[in-house]
Amino acid sequence: MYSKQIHVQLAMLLLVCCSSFLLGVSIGDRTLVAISITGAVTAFVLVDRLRWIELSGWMANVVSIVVLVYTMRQFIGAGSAGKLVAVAYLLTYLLTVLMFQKKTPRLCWQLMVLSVLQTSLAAIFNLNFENGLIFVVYFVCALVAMILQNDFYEWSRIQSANERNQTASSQHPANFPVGIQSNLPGGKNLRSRMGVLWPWLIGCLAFAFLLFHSLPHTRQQNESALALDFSATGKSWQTDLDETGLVQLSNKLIFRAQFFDYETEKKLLLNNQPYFRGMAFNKLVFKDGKTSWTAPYDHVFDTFSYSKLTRMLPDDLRSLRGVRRAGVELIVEPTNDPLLFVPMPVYRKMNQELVPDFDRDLSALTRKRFRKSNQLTSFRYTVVTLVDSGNRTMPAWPYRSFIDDRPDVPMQTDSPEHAMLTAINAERYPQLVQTAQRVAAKYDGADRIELCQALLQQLSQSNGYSYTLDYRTVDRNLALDPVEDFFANHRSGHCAVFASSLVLMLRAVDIPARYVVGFHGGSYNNLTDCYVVHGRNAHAWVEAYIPPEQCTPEMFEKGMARGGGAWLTLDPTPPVYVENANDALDLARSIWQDYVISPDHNKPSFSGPGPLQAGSLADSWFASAFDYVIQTVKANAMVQATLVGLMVIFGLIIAFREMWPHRKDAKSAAVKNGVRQWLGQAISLVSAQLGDRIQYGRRRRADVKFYNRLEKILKQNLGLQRRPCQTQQEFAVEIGQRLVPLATDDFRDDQIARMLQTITSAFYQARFSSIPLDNHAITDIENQLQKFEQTLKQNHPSK
Amino acid sequence: MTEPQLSRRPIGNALLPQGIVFVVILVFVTVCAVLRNVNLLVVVSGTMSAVLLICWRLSRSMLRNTAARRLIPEEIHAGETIPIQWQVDNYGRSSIFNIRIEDQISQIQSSTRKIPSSKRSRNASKGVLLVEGIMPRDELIGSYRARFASRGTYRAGPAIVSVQFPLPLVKCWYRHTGVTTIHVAPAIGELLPGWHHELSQHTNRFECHASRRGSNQDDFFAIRNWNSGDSLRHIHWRSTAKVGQPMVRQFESYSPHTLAVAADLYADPDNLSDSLDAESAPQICEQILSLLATLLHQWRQHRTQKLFIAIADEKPTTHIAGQDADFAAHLHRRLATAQASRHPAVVNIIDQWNTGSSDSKLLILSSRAMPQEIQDHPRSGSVDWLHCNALKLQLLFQHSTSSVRPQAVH
Repeated sequence: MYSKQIHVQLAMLLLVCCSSFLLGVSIGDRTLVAISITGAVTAFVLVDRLRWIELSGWMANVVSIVVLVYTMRQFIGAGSAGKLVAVAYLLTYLLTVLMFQKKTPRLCWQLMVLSVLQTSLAAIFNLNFENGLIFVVYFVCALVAMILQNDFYEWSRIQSANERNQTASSQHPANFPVGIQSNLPGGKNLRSRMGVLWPWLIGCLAFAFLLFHSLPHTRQQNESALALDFSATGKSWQTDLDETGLVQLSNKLIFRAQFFDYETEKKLLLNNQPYFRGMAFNKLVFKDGKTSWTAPYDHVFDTFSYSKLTRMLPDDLRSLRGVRRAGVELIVEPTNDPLLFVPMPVYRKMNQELVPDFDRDLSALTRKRFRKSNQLTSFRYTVVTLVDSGNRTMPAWPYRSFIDDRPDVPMQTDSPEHAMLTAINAERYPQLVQTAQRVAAKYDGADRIELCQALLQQLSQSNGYSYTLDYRTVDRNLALDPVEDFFANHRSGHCAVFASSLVLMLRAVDIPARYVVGFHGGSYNNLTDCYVVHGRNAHAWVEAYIPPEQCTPEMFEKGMARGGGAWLTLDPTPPVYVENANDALDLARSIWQDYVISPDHNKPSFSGPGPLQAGSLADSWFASAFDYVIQTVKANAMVQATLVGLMVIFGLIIAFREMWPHRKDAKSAAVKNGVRQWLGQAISLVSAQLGDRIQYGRRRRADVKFYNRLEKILKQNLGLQRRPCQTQQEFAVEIGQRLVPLATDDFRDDQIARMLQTITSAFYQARFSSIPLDNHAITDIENQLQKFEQTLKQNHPSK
Repeated sequence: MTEPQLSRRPIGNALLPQGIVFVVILVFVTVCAVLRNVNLLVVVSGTMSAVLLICWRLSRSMLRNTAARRLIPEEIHAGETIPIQWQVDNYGRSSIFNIRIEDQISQIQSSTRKIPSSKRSRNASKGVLLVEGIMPRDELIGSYRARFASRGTYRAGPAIVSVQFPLPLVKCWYRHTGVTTIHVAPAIGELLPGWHHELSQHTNRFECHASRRGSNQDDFFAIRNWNSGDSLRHIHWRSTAKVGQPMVRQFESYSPHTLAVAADLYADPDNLSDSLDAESAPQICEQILSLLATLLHQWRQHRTQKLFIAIADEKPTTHIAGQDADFAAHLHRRLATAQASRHPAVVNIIDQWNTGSSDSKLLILSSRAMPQEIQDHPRSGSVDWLHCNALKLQLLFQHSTSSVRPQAVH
């Protein structure tokens, strides 16, 4: 049995587990991962280790055919993505079947091929950064597995050849008179081989990177036709308010956003936490004892209510005073959610190929979602917003008429929109309505903005309202509406109930208001200068309508309001802490997503890398490093001269070697060795190890001077010399016989034979063994040689 | 270590079956990467391409710095398992791994006939040697074992030296054109007491050995290395333990007289009366040659007596120890190539023996009775004719049971 079989089996197990995990995760089927890994481990234990069971060849074929038929049911009739998924299942099942067979070199190779196909398929789907690391681990495992399989294959070939030779020579001795038995390899030097390989591995990765970097990248990742049930990110079409337990926060990455100056394209650091607005909910419904905010989210599937952002050009805002236009680049993680998130106000970026839509019905930015097609890659879009001179996002944005989409028509009080936005069931919220009306009476005559602020203050911490996600400790009165219960009784809740309360208070005083969901803030990455927004940053706040006559002149000047009035952003939730991103990890994740999975940029240009993406950041690093080298060389004449000189010398050396490729005579070799010896001895004064390495190369040559001396003695005194085709052992046997007649009383023949045997054994030990000779043994040999030489000289002076 | 002319050696490249599968997968991945616009597959494709390229370049550079030569023992006898050694030198500055040497050995000439070249290549036995690793500027000796069933002339080579490292995708190889001719002498056997008795019967002047000095086990002439045919009872265990290899007690001292033996390799079924003998005549010739090989081997061990050995086939030769500088090698080769004949020139041997100044008689071992032409020969008195049949030979000599003789094995 192959001595390193356990290594091969383990490598195969690891390989299959890695590739199956990657494939299962990429298609979002954890059951498949569990099945394949469980199967592989079970096969390893039962087949490879315990050897209790083993699928024979024909049985494996039958099972494979059954698996093929089973998966073909999924294959036929499916779309292109469905076909790929069916192939993924087939590969995984086949791998599991193969694992239950005896591990021959051929089977190991089949396992490796299938696992490579699995990994390739996983790459076709999607791999996030963490899985990308497993992807790298897989390649290292595959390399080691192939090396082990190579050894196993060689061992198997030699064993087969031995069996063939034995059969042939025993059955047909006349035809095959030579019986040959080759030594089986033991799979040694694995560590040494790995040691040799690591620089080549780095070269391999560098080559792959260069190839990848120089090839044109795909630009239309957002319209991948893969149809899979991918978990949606963000929101659904309704928000329930009846929380009774612990609200779980998700750490799932939703999107990244980067702000830059629209004119100069320089990065922009905001002085406030931006609101990334998603969708507005207008209608509060009560159904099955639950209170929920709903919106016609399903309308997103229809295309009737779309309006391009083309009608919202930022150019006419250029003249506004104290206002800056800020570009925002957003990269949404893979999702099938058509909603996009933007800071309001939002305008279209000029000369942009990809234009998101603005759904007036939802009052949200959206993208088209093809029927039954989902996004498996990130989606990137760029919009323009306004910031003030202090780099703060605007707290309000212009109202556009729901009816005719005009910016200068205010909301009519008798319009359906107004009715919807002021609708409230006062009977469900007696305390809330009463409080709102009391405040309104107090602020009678003040403008609407002041009233909004006053209502906002009602939910402040000074009034006993606090933020919590754990409703298990809250004393809920389930007979009441959750918002009324929050407002009137327990006063603890999360952003949804805070925002709901404020919306209802505003509506109670006849101010059109709506409940808005989106994300607030996020963690800021200092390396990529972008906001990293996770699921835990989801937030709800309020937008209140301010009619034009109630808007301040500053609002008009800064583009927050127009003829139709404005939407004022109100956030009643107590502020939460601002977190910092794990910069390095997030940067790596960004580079993986932007640069490897879905780069959407042209080839890097050294003059101006595209702003605001990690891929560009990587490009800019290379570009700046290259620029630095070029500039340094250009500026420094000495560097130029040195470089030219080195190139000339290098060229001359190459030419010299080409012209006289074999000019390595003994003299030059001696000079070279002399210099090396001298240098090595000099360095040995400081570092003995380094000196030895210089003197003797990577491995110190075996010290076999005693054997050379023996050969010299025999040659000088007896004319005996080892022939080229003769090994040292053979030589010892031969001269042992020849020296028998020359034995004397002082040096008997058995002593001579023993001496020769000792010296030959010592030679083999010094030359081929890993155990060096100790000084005592060498001294002993030297003494014997000296006595032997003296004996020969005394008794055979003529020789 | 002197670097030979390695750079001009033509090196072939071959994609192994596994490499072909690898390339197919590579093409598949590349096509997928292009058609489906999947960037990660571009990375996979690039990595796989790099692996393939690196395998090729690494194997090529390793092979370019490799030199190999075959080392074959000088004295090979039929039936013995011997190591065929290869010395592989690494002249490069980095270690080399997985050097694979595919050698082949074919029989050129058997004991009875010359093997045609077509059959020779078809029936060649192949040996594989895998050198797993050699450090920079170092050498390594590896071997595989070969057992030659019959005497004759064999040819080792040409060999294919190849490297497939680190992955079994690409093989770089070159043809090692060094061909070594191997002369396999007859199998060594054991001389039985009947042999010594036969010698003493034929001539009283011919003394191949002196009388025993002592009769008990502790009285012996000398201690020497164990030879094939020595009795296990004569092993001197104390010396064996000291020296590390079997030593035996020698009870006899060899006389300086010449031991003259000739082999009459006659095999003609028409002239042999006994049908049983007719069938076994070539085998008897083989046994006679084995007996001579054993004599030679013993002479090599002691070299204390004069030896004259003649082989009479169609091209008769005589070999005299002391006159021929390379007596043993020549005789070894002759024993390997001698062929039984209808007309062995045994008369020439007798003439040549009598031209010498020896006063000993020539012992001729033959598969036939003394022919008339020898009887009529004027110098027939100087020879002792020993007609050997199968039964007779069983008393003189037996084949050794051990197939392994001490060889230089690393």
